[in-house]
Amino acid sequence: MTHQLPHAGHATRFVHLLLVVVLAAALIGFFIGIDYGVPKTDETAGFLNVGTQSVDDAAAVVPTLNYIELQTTDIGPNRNWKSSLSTLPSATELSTSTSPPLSTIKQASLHIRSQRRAFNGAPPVIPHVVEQMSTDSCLSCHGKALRIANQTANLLPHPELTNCMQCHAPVEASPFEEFVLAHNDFAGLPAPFEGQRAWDGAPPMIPHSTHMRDNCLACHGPAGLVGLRTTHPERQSCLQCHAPSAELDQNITASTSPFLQMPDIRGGS
Amino acid sequence: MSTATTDRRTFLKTAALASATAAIAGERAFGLPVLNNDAASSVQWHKAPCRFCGTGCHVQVGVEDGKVVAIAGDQRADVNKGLLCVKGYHVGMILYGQDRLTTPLLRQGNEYVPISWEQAIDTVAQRIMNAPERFAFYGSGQWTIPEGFAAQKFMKGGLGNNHIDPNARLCMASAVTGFLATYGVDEPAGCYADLDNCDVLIMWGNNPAEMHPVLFSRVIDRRSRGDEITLIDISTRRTRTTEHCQHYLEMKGHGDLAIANGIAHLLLKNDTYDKQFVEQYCNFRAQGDTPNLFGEAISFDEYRKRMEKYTPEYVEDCSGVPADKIRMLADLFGRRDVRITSLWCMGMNQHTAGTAINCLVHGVHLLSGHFGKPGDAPTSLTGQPSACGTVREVGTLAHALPGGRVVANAEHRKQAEQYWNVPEGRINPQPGYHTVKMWEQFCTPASAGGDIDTLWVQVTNPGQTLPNLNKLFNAKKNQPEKFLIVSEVYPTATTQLADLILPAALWVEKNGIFGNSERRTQQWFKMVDPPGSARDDCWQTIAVAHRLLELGHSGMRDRDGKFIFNVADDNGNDVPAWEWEHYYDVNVDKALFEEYRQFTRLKHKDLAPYEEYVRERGLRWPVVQQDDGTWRETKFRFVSFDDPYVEDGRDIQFYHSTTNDDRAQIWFYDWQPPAEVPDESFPFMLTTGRVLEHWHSGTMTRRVGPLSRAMPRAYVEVNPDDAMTLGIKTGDMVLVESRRGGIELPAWINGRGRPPRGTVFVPFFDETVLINDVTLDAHDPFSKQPDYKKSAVRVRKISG
Repeated sequence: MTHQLPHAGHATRFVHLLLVVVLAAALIGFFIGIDYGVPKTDETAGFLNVGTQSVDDAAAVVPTLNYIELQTTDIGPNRNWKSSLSTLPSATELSTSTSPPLSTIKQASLHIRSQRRAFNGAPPVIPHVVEQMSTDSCLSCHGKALRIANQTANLLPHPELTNCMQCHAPVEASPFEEFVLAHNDFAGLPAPFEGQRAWDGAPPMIPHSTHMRDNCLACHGPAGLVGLRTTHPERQSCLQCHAPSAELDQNITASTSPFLQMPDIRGGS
Repeated sequence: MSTATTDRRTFLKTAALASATAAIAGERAFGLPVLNNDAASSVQWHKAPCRFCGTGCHVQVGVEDGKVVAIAGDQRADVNKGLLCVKGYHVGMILYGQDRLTTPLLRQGNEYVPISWEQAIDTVAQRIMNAPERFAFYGSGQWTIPEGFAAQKFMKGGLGNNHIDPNARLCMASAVTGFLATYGVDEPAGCYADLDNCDVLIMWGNNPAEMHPVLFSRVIDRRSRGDEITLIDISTRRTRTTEHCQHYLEMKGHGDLAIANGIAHLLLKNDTYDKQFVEQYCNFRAQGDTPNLFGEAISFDEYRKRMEKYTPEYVEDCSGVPADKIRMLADLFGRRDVRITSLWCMGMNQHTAGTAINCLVHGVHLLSGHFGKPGDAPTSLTGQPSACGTVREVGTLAHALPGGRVVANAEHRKQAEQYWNVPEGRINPQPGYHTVKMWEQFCTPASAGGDIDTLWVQVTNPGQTLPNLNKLFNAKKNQPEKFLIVSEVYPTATTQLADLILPAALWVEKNGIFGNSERRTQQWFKMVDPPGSARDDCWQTIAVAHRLLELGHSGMRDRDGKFIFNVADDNGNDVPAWEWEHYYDVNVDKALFEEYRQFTRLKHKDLAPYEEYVRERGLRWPVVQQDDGTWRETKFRFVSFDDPYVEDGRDIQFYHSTTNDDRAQIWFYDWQPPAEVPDESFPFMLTTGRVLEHWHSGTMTRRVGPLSRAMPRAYVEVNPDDAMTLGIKTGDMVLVESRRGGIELPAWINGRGRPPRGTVFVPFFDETVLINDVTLDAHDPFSKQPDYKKSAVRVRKISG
């Protein structure tokens, strides 16, 4: 058996050499890769700032980096979310409270929600950079409410629809320079603060359409915005107590009369 | 009005102000207010078809206090079943761009002066009165059916002038010639239900994931339900559609001609064509010495002989698609146990052999019997909301009359004159100028033979969308004798050269009727007022006609001496609809539609009464009245199980056959190279098109924040290897230049689409960089539709 040792040493050297070649190839490939496809400017800055480093606006030429630096450097689409992948808590670790959220917290959550919609009922825009061609990759986070850093990906409320960017527009497509949105006087339908209640303590009615919101817990469950979370996620049959709006759900026509005729009352007017 | 509502209005105003400020500051948030009440309660919802593409989704429009405030997918609509695309969800915002045109403007030197509507209408009428035969009307597939019908009647039935053509000539004219040459009558036999039933979907030069997203979802969402569908993308570049397909067949421009012939070759060689179907229902046809849409009969053996050279290897040479992939396609078509739907739009239509490729794809379906069963269909899509309804059915083309008639046919002219109640001989038998010719004549000085000197444009933007703009549009500049009238909603590339700008009402600011890609006629009512003094295009046409009547133009009177657009109310009293104050005293749309309906029976495109469409989310023609008085739409034409016009005992009957024997024509056409191919000086092939977020020239969508934010400007897609060679990085400014013109725009590598080496792609939506300065105006010999997809260009980096 001993005569095999030199061979083993040989193999180790070969492995080392191979590693060097592979690493060199990977590095070269990496720099070619970032030269073609990395946006020139940091378009996500300001939209959803998660407090990581931002790319220098003038970073058309990317400085040389070593592997240690790579871990903390923003590259590629969704670069702001890359740093904490190893420490992701799962969505189930998020909690709900048994008492309703304070109105200030709810207001803040609704404000975040409203920032991404042109009117209540509009599909939210995508507040981060995306791969232009790959819609499937959306599900890797939004299919399971993945939590990264202090951000939770919204859970997909309509899993049967898979052409995400048909309805959800991304932020500015790279590589374009700054531009000014055209002035538009459209005043969108506001978001309601809450569903109406018949009395204090009654279950609120659903103030929005339930179409394409098959999964109520996508927004009202533990992964939803804090101010919108249910106090009772253990109850699964939401519509048992919370009534949807037939009008918003487009379920009835206006011409349908819900009542039989009044009886003729003698002497009545 | 409750206090809450008043508060809300104040709030909204503040919000609008805030958002305007935010836009200036470059902040991206929308800042939608959150209110402490049930905000939805005072919103009124009404149905309307979407304003954008030919899919014809229905939306629910939320209106409050005279403004559109929200949009929802209409769940009762069969087309979209409650789903929309990102454009559709934001369609309400197109009404509220701050730079809406609100008053008529007359050019004086380099400036415009506001004028009254009276002056404006008089100016148009005087120009026409001076030389009616030198006037041309240019419209589009965005004209509503009544608008197009009014323009058509005004020109052909009033002025006796056939110089009326739509931008649809640039869009689906080759689809029309393909249907006519194959079936003898226009428009698809199938419908969107084919998408629910097909096992294989072949997209020929088509990117429905971006261009007809709701239809694409209708297919791929079936996968979520467990259906197995094979998607095949035959394309000149990778797109979002490709990402969902099992097969991507990357072809060179015009490769489609060879691919279709390659399939036919193998069906014949392998004896897998549908013998029974061909024997019972088909003839074979090819062009003779004088090419036309009827062609000459050839025998089956002759057809087989001509197809002999299209071996998979030869097809690979012509198209660049591997021979194995051709075999794969032919094997699919050779199977009787799968249902195959073909979809196409601009890829096959904007093609100098557009009629040929349309005929060949129909031919492959007929030869293999993949026709006439739900899911087995060759189906063309349209890009405009009423390209089918207004252009193809109302016939707003230089050679056509309503209901599939043509001006060259004496019998057709007579029928039209009768329905219009205008004197016999009023309609000119000579076809007018098609689009490219019309603009060429308008841009050519009178002294050099340019015999169009007044041109009225409605609902379209030729200054951006015509090919070879320097020749066909920009040359109008500095020709004071030429007068361009433009009815528009926003300033555009076209209004830049306009002599008179007429502010128009848009979408739900007026009544309307559209006709979508699947023969579905869709009606909506006016919901909000247009801004300022903007007015309906249809009213503008009628007002000019009436002014001409006042000026003594005899063509504006019918046989009884009455105004050709005379409209009466329910009691039979005439309403002066040419006066704006009275235009909505009566439903002019309904009056025009009922008049038009008479035209629709000849080609079995029967329409139901107006009121039926008010009730429905559109109906697919022929709509035939049943014994019980109800109206029934038709999903599948020419087949006994659904089409009421197929005779008893026949399974399939092509009852408008050009050979009068109830058979469809299977055509032979040879492969031919594109009109322009890359060479040493211009080594790249430029292809142009759309992106998901913007619709056509971007006039509407670029004013919608969420859309414009996602796709702010035009760019050029370059292949990474080409980019490496040229030293181009993403974001670099690049010059794209052809023999006709050049533009500068940023490069985008591995961006929205991914072209192969030697191809570049530029979208045409951006009015600040007009790619049509670069494109070619070569066009199909039959349809006269130009080829925007294949221009030879060179590409050079300008700055990093």
